[in-house]
Amino acid sequence: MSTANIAPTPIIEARQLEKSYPQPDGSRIQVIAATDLAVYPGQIIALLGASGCGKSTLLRMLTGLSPASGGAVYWHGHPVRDESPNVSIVFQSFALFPWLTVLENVEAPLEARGTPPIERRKRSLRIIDAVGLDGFETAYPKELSGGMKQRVGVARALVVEPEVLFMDEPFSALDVLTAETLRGELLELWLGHKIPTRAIFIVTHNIEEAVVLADRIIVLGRNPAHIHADFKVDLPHPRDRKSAHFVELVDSIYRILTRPDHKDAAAPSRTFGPGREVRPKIVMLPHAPRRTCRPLGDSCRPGRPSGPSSPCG
Amino acid sequence: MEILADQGGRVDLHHLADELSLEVDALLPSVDTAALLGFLRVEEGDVTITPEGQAFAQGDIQARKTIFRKAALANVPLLRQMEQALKAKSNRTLNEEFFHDLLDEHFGEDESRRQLETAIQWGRYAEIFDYDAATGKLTLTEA
Repeated sequence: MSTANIAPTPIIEARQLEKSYPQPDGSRIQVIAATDLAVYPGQIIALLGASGCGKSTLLRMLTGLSPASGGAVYWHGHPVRDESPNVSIVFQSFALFPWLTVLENVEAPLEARGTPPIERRKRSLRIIDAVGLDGFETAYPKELSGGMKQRVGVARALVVEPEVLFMDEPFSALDVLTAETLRGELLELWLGHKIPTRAIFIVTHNIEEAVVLADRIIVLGRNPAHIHADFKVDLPHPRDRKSAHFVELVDSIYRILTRPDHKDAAAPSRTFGPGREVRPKIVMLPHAPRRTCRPLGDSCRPGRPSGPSSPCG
Repeated sequence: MEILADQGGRVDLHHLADELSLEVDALLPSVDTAALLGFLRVEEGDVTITPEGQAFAQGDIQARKTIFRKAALANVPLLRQMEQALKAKSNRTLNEEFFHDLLDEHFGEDESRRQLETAIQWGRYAEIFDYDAATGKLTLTEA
């Protein structure tokens, strides 16, 4: 499962996936523009974007947690509505059951899937061990620090052996040192093939976190959300935050994020990695679609030189 | 620890704080802890990593637990006493109140609580003992 070889068939594929909410006046607020996106095995994908740009909504639609307003999500080629995708999510807020112990929290998803008790216990203890939580099996969440809580969150997500592990800002509620430790542990599990997970999809607004972890980074533009840039990162692990390639990539993503409406100001023109030129797959929209979509016709003229986030009016 | 290991094992505290974008105040508890465990030495504002610290920084999740256990039992008398007290019991179990009373002879109530809470966290992580918060019972982890 090397990151260099991309299997031809995606695990998850979104086609023209969009989200909008109806307004009282009959118009709709477009939150996510029609988006194509595929998750291939062997990759950690980071979805980067400013706060509130729709990253989490997109994640929820990809997992089938939130219904789409248009388009569809395919799971091994089948619509997600018909299939129950084998995915799990790690949440920023941990979302543990406070009345259950660590072991019971980790067992919960297996119980929900009807796994027999003995098997349940065995698998849970194994994953608790893998994330370094042994010793805390009988602890309740309130006894744990933030870092330990999120290890429970990770163990609970991994115990079902998800094909894709979704993580929604998993480390942003932790202090910097703890967050860095947990990132390292996640990479250890992933790169060491200690988990059967075939892809990781992580939502973050932390550019460095994306560059530390990801094989592929998707930058989301806003109003409405759309894929602004999509490229591979070929830096070998462990990645040195001080290396020229690392810094260059962080800088260029920073420029993309801060000036989203400037077409090509800062798009990385190639895959980042030591030397090699690999097909740069960059999807740049000519201009950001506008926020409110009335049935045909939008008062906003595209192409107007506008500031980073200036909305229609 | 990892930054230290990367930077040849010796670094100025201010420089380290800078590197981590932390105030020195915020960094000190971590440094104190690592020093207590024998992973670091602090001398005149410089921090030096020890061979144990080096091993800890480079170990994987499981190795870190093992190294931590060894360091905790070697350097933290309270944990060693707790382990011995539990070993001395035929059922390998004691109530946390027992240890609290011992600490109470040396510290005030708040400090005793705090010390015990920390010791329980460390002891659990190091797999020295298990703890049941509902009953307050500590049980020696069988090897």
